[in-house]
Amino acid sequence: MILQAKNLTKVFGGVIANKEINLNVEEGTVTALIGPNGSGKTTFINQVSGVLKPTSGQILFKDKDITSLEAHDISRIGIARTFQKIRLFEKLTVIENVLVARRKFFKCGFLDIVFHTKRLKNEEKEQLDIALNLLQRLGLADEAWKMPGELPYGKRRALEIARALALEPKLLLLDEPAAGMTRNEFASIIDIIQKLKEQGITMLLVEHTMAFIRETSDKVYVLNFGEVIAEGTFEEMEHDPAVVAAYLGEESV
Amino acid sequence: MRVVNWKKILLIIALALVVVYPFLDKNDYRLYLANRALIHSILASGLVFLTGFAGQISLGQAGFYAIGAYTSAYITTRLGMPIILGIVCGILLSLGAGLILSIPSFKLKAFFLSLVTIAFGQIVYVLILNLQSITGGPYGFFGIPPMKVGQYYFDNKGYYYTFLIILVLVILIIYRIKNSYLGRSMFAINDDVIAAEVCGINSKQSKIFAFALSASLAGLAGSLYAHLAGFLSPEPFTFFESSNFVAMAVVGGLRNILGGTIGGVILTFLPEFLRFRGWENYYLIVTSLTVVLVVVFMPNGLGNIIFKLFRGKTHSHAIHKEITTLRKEKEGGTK
Repeated sequence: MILQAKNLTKVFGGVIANKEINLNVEEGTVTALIGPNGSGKTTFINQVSGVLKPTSGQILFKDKDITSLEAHDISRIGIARTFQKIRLFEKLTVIENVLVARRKFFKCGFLDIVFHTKRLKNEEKEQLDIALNLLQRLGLADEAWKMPGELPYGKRRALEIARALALEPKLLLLDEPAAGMTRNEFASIIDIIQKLKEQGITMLLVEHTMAFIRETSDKVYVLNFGEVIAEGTFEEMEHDPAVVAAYLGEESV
Repeated sequence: MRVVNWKKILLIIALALVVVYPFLDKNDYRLYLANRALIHSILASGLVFLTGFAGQISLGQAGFYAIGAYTSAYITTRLGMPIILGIVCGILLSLGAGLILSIPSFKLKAFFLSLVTIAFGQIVYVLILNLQSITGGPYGFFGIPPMKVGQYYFDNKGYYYTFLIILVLVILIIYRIKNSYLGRSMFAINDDVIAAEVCGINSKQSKIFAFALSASLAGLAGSLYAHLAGFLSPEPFTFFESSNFVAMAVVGGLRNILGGTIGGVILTFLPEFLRFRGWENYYLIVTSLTVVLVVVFMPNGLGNIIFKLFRGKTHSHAIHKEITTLRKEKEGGTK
């Protein structure tokens, strides 16, 4: 197991956003987290990525406890993420957005910067090449020198994924990657995810679009009111009475 | 085809003027003011870095300025150590204070952080007044040795060139930091802290670094001031001065590498200039009004206007020159 959540609980004031969630992600698979609005999916992603601290419970990454680590440490050890509402660095160019995430690969220190050593210049060049390559893989090569604000929505999403991939993660958390996409953009995102899966990147994604989950996911967890109410393959979930009830209400069962 | 590049010529003339200025102006008081302006520029450059690049705020820079000044004064005058050691100690002590002051910035933002920094400045000011055995309190600190090389004691010319070289080095270092991954991380944090953290950027570390650097530069400026003036009293270290430093950074341009210098020079000379033009009673009002007008109508500062006049339309959005150069190399290579 690359990721294990054990009895993970998050309480905001009087609201229990996540209640004793037990969730496992197997290496090399795509796991989906679904559930109605407000069921605690994003809260879960926020805790795994270190943006929020759990109230209680444990998160294990490759059998190591990462519950108390800070977000920047978690991203450094191999967990990257995207956001439901896209968060790019709007004042930096597209390529610089990706380069920000290459920070952990720089070996040069402060003195290299002050004296502007050859070592630093080489490193900057090396990282720039890697970043350009990454943009190419996600179809953003022509936009490298633009500002993120000039990109259409689908490409902004792709840029956010490129930035996450720049960390060379073992586990990628995608929070509603297909939200608000046109049909073409939708297809290209599914394509991207399938390519990443072939490259052996494990993914945990939150999604509402059932077509998207059917296409991409190996395993599905269903959340409702902060609790896992079902887990299994997509086909199993589709017919699970508890899941249908959560989405459509008791009456329709 | 020969095109006269008047912009380049203008730039060269301006630089030449800066270099030969002490020989052109026979007025010793103006030269002394120029030295003060250079000191202010060093300090304000640090503030541009802290506020414009790292997105933090400090209304207590006079505190670091004072720590640098009194440390160097004490070490050289009372302990009889060489001036260079005094300056180094002044920088180190300010740096230490900067590290401590960076701690509240982890939790506090904007308004609340500025209150903490004001409090810091006031604490230092009160300490100067009350630690009479060290600082001389309101009676002042006398007999601080001037800088010298061999047997040559610096006059205002000597200070001018020394400070000018230091300022150029300071700007160069800030420029290099800005263009490196460190600067990139800072801009990223400034844009969106959570997104930056998720990209593996330690925002706390970045804030500590920014506070430490700006505090060190204020300490450096303070220790230079001590030896230039030869005498210290508590007046230059009040909250009024702290806000004046912030005004310099803002007027010059917070996102501009030369912002501190432009603001430092303008806000050092303008009040004195007005004072000698028979505006004795109004010079502070006019200076403050200038600051307000610049902030309202040119929020990016005078530095940006000057840059725009020189560069025309900028071709690249990239903040980092390094990247723009690499891009040119790359695109040149494929053609």
